[in-house]
Amino acid sequence: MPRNGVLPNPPDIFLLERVVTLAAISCPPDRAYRLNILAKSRQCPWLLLNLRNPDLISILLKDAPDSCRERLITLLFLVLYALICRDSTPLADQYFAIIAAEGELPLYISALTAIAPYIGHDGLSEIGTMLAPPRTQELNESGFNKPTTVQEELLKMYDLQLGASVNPGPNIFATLLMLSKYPPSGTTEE
Amino acid sequence: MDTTPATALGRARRCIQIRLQKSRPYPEKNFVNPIKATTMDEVQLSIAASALQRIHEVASNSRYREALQWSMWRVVGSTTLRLPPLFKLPSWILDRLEDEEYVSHLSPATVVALVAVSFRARHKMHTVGNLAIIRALCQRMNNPTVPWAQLVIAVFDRLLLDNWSPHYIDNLVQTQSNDLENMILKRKLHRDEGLWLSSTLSELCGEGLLSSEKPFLIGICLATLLDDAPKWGPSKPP
Repeated sequence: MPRNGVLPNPPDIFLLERVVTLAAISCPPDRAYRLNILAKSRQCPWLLLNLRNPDLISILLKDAPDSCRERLITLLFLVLYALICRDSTPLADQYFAIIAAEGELPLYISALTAIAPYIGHDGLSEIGTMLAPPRTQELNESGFNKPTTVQEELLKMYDLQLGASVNPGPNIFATLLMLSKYPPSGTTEE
Repeated sequence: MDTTPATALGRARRCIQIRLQKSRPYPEKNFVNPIKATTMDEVQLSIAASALQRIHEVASNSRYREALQWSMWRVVGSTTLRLPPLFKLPSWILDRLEDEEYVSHLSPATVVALVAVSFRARHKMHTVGNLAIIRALCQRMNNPTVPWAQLVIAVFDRLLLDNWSPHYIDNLVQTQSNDLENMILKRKLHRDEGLWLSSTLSELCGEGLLSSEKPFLIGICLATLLDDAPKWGPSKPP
């Protein structure tokens, strides 16, 4: 279904390259390092040298001040979803590994809430599945028949990381509502 | 089975393909295919930009080539072509900005192109006088409604804010620091405008002309992708 009345297109890969370059260049105080990133983007933009180098993002995330950490994670989720849309799975996996190594679930949920209106159910579901993959097989073996959903896994992760006594924040409710807004395509077909 | 092409042309083509694959060591074959068309555009744009720059360099600092120079920066300053990396305005063009009568004959589109290209003329721009002249040019356009003009002016204001103390620029700058981000989200940038904005800010930041204020730059990156994200969908239909 077209989102916002616009037929979907694969994300613009050159825009992604430029955005990753700008984000990477915002970090280091070392001028030579910045110029090196810039030169890669200037000389052969079609080689996507900065987008294809997740180490830049790793450095960026490690040095990020707390004031912009959430926005940076939000940005990286968007890059991640764009790569998934482009079927660039191995690179998306590398980006996800970097994000997963540097954050915590409340931060992820907050970031997801910020981008939910823009990426819709599909995007939210893709990223949610990466954050909390449904453990279908494990549950079947232990006697349950129905597969778990992303929503259930997110709540379980929330409990595991924060303890069952902590009340869920508004962001997780917003994310769960967004995920529940449309049923997964498999269930509607049935 | 021997798959070597029978003709010399076929073998040459295969050699080129192998060489291209080696120079592009990306592990995903599916990733390369969807970007072929846009890659060609990007290569052609870069070649065109380099050609323009070469012409510009040949004609630089010559008043006899004034018409050529004006045409050059107008084309390069538009969003249809990326600015060549080292493109700089000849100093005599910037000097003429002080000539009010001369400037008054320029069309708003020309003024915007001039401001866009003037980001490259750092050595000349680093005086309050020149910045004031260029900002005055922007103000002459009386709050332009063209998104491209608004974008260029907002970037220019940001540059002013980052490089000069408020004492000097209070009367010059109209754009607030977060206006650029809001503008991206409200206005829906064209593809070329988004590319221009991110590459221009990268260059200004790379050269140390933006104070590497990370929250601001991350905010711009975020707004650019949020603006584009509603159009996204899978490369292949399900």
